[in-house]
Amino acid sequence: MSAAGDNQSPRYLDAHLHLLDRQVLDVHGVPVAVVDDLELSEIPAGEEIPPDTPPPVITALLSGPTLATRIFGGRPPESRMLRTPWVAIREIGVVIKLSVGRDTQDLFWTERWVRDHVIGRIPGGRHAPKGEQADSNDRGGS
Amino acid sequence: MIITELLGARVYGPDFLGFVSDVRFRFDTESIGQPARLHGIMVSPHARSSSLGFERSGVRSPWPIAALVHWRHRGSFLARWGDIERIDVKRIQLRQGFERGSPELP
Amino acid sequence: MKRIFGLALGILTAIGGFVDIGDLVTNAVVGSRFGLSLAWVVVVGVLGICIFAQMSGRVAAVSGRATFELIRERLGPRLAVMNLGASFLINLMTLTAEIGGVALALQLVSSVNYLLWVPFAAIAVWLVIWRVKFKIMENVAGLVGLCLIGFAVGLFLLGPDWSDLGRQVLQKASTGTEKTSTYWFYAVALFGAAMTPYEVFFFSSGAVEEGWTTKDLAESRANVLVGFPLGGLLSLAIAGCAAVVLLPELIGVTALSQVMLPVAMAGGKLLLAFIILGVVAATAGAALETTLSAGYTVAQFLGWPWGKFRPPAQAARFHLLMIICLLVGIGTLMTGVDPIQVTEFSVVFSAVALPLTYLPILIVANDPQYMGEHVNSRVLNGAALVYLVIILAAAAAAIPLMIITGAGQ
Repeated sequence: MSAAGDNQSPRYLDAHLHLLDRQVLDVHGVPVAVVDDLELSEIPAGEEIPPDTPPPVITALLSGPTLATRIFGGRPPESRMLRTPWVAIREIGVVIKLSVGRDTQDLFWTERWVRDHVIGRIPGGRHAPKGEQADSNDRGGS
Repeated sequence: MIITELLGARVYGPDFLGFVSDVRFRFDTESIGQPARLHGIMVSPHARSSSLGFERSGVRSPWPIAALVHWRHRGSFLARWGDIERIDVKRIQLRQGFERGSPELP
Repeated sequence: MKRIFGLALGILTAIGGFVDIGDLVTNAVVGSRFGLSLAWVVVVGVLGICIFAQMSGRVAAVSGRATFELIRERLGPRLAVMNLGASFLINLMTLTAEIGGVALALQLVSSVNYLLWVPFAAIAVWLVIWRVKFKIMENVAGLVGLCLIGFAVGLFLLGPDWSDLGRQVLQKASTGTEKTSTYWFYAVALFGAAMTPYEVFFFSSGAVEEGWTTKDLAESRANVLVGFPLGGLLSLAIAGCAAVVLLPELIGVTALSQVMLPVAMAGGKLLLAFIILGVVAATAGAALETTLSAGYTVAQFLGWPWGKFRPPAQAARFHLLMIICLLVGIGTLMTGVDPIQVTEFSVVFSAVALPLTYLPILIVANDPQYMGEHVNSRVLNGAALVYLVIILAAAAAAIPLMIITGAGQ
């Protein structure tokens, strides 16, 4: 995957600088979530690391209710976090673009619920505003 | 392990060196699906976090803000994965004779 | 004609920012108490918002990111959520006041009680957000709002002593009975009203709604350079009318009808009708702008899909949030709270919250990863830094001044 937006392609990424708090877009350019945390492969914790141990890799992007925990400490339980596998990422730049569509991801149930039970029930909710063509996803960083 | 468990951790040499202000990853090649391997940790003696974030990319404007951020992150260095001896809860121990790498992004 | 429509985003943003219900009254109050001696604040404010909106519009066009997404990315969770909390509350207060403002204006033309107009106004605002295309909304609200030019017409018709007005502009001391602290309170209030963050949230999100790209940078600049100075001129015209008619008689301004008094005297019923049309459009435009800003800020911060360019079902939480905001607005107004007083508070809080919004944009506008070759020029950076100092000063002074002067008594 390409590791930056423009001409320079750094082969290094800093977690806080380039990945955390960035928007994740699916293959159609629709916002999926914000990167709240990164899941790393196992590191032996609490014991001495043997000198030739290979470094851990990022296995997934995590999104979830981390606002309070990032300020005060701790972490929300795994079941509350949306997990985007690293291999689903197509490009990392100003936004993080995935190679999969939104519905094949574990879409945030709140968006689905509000759509099905509230907005979808109000007349006109499923149509684009009058006169708009179906170019609905061509904006917002896609 | 998740990254927020590493960020803000205290780093010790033999003595207290600073806080983890960021974690650097490295790609081996440019092809799709390449894993990002942990290259090292950014240790900052005075600042716990990496807000604003441009103290490493070489961007120098606007100058008062760049100067302020650079001052806040003075003495920062990169400790490579190989120099990390031990990771405990919010505490990282570096090996004897660890190298201080440059914090700038290559 | 198409060129004029291309400027509608800037004009609407400016109208919602400079001549919404709060500013209509504040400008008249200032004119009736200080004459035009605070005109320099409007000029400083216009220049400031031009710089700020230009940067955020450019960032939105080049990187596709709207302002609040950048605030989340650059400030880190603690500061960003503080900014979100403050901005959302200010947006909520302001949209409540604007709905009230629309109802007040409609009450002036009909004999129907203001409280009955409130739900009607809120539902009308919602319908526009729900079904009307962004471009049509900005064209209609922006251009009909320009009817407020009637204030400038009225000012000429009043045949004022221009040299006297000129003298008021240049004399920077307060007049007669007013205290210096009150003068500076209104200076900060006018500055905060000129540079309210929701103008920038709306303008940059509007840039994304319009699909502006690097090719549209000239259009973005034109929108800024036409819209905001125009808004400033309208502000000055309102203050001028009040200065000419109300100041000599020491008439205080507490109601919307008193704002219109000079115009009625100058141009009779026809000009008055024209003005009222402008007021309805301007307050409705401001209501739309602040409601959408409330939706934009939260949705962008939390990473939800947003935008009027999507069918509501594809931006469900965004639309639900705005519906809830409007319902809260109706509820608040029905308790009888005075919408004009609400804006006076929200303007002061805007001035306090401004630095946290300004700084991330200034930084991103200099970041090549987002901007490529379109980073800030040295001149723009210089001006932007001067304004950073001014903004910090205003933010620090706002609440103390509000307390000392009892919100401008």
